[in-house]
Amino acid sequence: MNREAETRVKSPSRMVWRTQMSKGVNTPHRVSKVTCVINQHYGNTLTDHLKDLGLEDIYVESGRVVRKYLRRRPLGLPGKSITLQDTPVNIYRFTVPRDISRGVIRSVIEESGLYQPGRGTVFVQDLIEFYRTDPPRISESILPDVVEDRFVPVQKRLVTGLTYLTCVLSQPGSAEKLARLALELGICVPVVTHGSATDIRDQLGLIRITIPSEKEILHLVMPEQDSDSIARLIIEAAGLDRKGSGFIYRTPVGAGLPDILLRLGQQEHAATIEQMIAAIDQIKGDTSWRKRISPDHGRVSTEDLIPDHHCEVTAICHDDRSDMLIDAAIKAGASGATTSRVKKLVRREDEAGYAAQSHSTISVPAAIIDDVVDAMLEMSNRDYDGGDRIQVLDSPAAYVQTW
Amino acid sequence: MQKRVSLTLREALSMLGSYARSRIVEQIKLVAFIIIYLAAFQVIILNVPLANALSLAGGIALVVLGLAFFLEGLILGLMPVGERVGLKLPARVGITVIALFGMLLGFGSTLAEPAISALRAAGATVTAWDAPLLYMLLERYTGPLVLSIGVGVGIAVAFGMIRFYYGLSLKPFIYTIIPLVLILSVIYTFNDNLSSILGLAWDSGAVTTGAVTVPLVLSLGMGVSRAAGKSSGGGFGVIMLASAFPILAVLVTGFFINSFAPDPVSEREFFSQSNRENAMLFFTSEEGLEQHAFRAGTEEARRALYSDEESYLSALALLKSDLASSQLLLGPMSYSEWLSMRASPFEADYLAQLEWGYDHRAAERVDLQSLIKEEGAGALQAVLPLCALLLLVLLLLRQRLRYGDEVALGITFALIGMALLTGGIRLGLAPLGGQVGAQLPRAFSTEEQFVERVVIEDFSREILIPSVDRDGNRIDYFHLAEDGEMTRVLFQEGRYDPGAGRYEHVITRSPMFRPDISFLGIALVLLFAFGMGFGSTLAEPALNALGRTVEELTVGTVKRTDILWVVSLGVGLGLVSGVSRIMFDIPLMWLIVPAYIVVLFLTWYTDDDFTSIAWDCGGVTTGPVTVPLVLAMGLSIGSELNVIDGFGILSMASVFPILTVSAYSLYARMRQRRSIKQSMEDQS
Repeated sequence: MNREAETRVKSPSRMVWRTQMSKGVNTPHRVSKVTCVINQHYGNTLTDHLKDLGLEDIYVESGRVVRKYLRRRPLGLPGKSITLQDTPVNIYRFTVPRDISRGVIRSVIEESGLYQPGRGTVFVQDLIEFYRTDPPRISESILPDVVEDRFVPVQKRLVTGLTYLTCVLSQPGSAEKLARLALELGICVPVVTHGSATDIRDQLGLIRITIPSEKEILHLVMPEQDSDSIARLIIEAAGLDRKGSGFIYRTPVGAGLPDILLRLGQQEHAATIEQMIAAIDQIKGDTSWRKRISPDHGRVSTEDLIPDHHCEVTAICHDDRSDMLIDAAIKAGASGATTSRVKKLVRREDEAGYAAQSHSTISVPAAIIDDVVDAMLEMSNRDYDGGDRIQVLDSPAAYVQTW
Repeated sequence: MQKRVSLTLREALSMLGSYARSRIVEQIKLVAFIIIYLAAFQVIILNVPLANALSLAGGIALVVLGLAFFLEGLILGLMPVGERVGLKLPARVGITVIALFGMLLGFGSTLAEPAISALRAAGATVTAWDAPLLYMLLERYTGPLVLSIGVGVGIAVAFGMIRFYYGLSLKPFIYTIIPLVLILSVIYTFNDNLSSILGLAWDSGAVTTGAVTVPLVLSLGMGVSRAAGKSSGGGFGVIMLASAFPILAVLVTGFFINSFAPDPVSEREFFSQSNRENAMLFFTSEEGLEQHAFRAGTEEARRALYSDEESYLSALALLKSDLASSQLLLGPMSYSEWLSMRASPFEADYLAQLEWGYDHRAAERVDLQSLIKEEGAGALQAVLPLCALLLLVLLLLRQRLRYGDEVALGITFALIGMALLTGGIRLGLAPLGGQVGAQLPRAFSTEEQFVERVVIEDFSREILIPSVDRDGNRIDYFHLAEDGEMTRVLFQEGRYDPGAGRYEHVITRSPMFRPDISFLGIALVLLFAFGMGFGSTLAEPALNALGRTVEELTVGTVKRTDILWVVSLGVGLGLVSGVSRIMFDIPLMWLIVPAYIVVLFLTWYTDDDFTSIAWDCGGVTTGPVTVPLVLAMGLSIGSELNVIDGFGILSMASVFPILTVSAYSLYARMRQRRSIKQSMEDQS
């Protein structure tokens, strides 16, 4: 069986774990990554809480969520006008041991009041991480009791059956268009961040100046069952089947609590549609009951455009190291990386005075994942004591158009 | 090794074409308003055709190209270098070195982009006898003035870096330095000499931060702020400090120079022989004194300067007979400008009878070659030293730029852009603003104004065109050909000398409105000021750079266009109040103090991040596009009303944007909180 066929039947991240364990140079850690998107207004509360939990490395990125805003027409005219309204958010990312991940997100939800639609989204993803230490253990005595969901009150149950879709868009303004599409379809509250890309642009010589390096990144946490259909709609709407327009991939979500406040402004009924969706999600414990978006829609077929078995490799490191790590990945066959600026909230003593960090994500085909991770780890070890954080996460579907 | 994508020439050209088109179209959209506004105002409202339309169109095309190149240069070259330096410094050196570097950069930027030319232009009507201290600062002690402003900007940038490093809020700085300069300014109003420099001090705060300095300082601040990792406005706030410290610097310098500055005297007394020793305190040579008598004085000044009638008339005659002497006496002022602004009827009459000794039309024409040379040199001076300083620091820090070729191209673009922009402004935008500005006083003046006296030799009655009015009275006209254009002129018997065959044609400017409705004219001027401030600010490159940075840092929550519109609105309102100050002779402090009190009040309630953005907006509004236009308008109105100087407009154009942006941020926050609260209530 050739290597490509082999990767089709196994989880690529597990393959990386095995390879690195057999080499014995770098020790991978099985961890859970917690991502929390929270309204900036409540950011300080969450920061204080995470510090109280004793978490050491928390990375914060700025972004915005887009919602529909409904208001009455002026001068008493009939009907309502619908516009899009942006709200600034902070995106917190940190890793915790897998066994306490649910407890951590429950405590985040409790502390930040994320049961209340409109405050934010939290979810957890299992991955392997290369870092000099294990994630810190948090005393379970300060976490809420982790019990089976069936014993948890309905309104506090976590939702499963979610997936995380990431779209990296080259054309300025595309994120707005796709956010509108997501809201129209009632998928989720879209989150937009900015980043810069090292991809096709770097392969063009000086004429690369004609392609903007700034990218808009759209993040969607949605029901897994619809992710392929939605991905296809997005590929068509943003023209991602054209070279250089951007790419899209999805990664699995263990559990979470998505924000479902799609609309702001005046409501007319006793319960909003969002409240009803949230209630049913929590009663059912997943999102599989929701309506399915037709997979037959559009010109792009799932089989043709969404090859399976990719991996998302993330490098979180000091700002000046990201270029080296990305170059190493590209030399090993990766097509490019998208880098966002993040701030490290709680710093170790030896890193004091330098908080500028980069969060670079690379979508890598499973066939070359070992080579890419090897190259990045080698570069990381060459002149640094493992301060770079490299994470590998399965990405069961991705659509990347390369030149 | 990374693979290289090879493109065909056609593909490459197509990519370049769409790239260039998008950049140029973006600039056309920004510049269109001010161009259409100025042209429409002149042609439709003032009812005067545009002169030199071809040259104006060429200049405007250069402005568009210049802005496109310059902004792209900032994005590709200058800002990435600035940010890189800001990111690296905290990792390698301590705060002392960072602060010293900031001081050097601030000081260097003042020398590279001298605001003194704009300040001198604003003070072009300042006289040594009316405002001795102000004149000394502007003309005699320019060096110490520039140095003090430079030191002010240097200290400001150093404080900015310290603030980012330690994550300090901007508000304590605002509530320290602004009340301090306000109190000092109010104290200065009690002294005649000191009060004359208040306009200069507040305007110098507005103009010190130029189109190159702003993006560099912003990106440097962004880098330091990110590296320090503390919430401190994300790189904003330095421009505010770099605007406030120079005000303090000028006030302090003025205080010291005031100790040996003479008191104000009358014009005649100033130029009299007995006062020569005192008068020479203002100039380094006798020629300087002579030039001041011609450029700023009236006939009385010139008669007092020359001991006898003969030397006075021979000096006068030099204006028409010898180009070099004329340039020595008038400086950068053209003969026709002098004739319309400074010459008395007697002098105009006397000179009209003299023959030209040189080609005066060629002398007044703009020489394109020298313009390119001058603007090119200015661009080199503004861009290269600052970039060289930053690149040197990167070299010392042993940092490699990932896209070195892109940065080099960006710096080249910035150079080309700066030269094209300033050249285009001189050729197109400033003359257009000047044409409208020159006509503007017609809107509120109540009597006919003398413009020029032309003597037509070998005039014959045969060229008269007879016509008749409704009462049967005969009226004669003739056609006057000038520069290939025909003007119809009413023939007046009294101006014709049949013996000498000479006709004296007096060009006058008639008021737009009857004296009893001159308030309409005032409203028109204020409307014009608003539109001009609004339109010119939209095209300001430094504001564009700031808007982009705001959009980037807020991940699009605050859009660049929102910032552009809100700031432009502020500048428009600022110009209205600045022009009102000149028209109604309102003391500057009466406007500055209340405006800043309101701004300080709003700042108290504004978020820290937005406070820095709002106060920085005040510093970036007065750039290469706005300043020439504002000065053309201010000086034209000021000269009509015989005010001492044109200062104050720029400082008002600086404070109002702070006010509008603060108000906008409060409104945006309130709207967001209201909608979230409302939705929360609906959900719970």
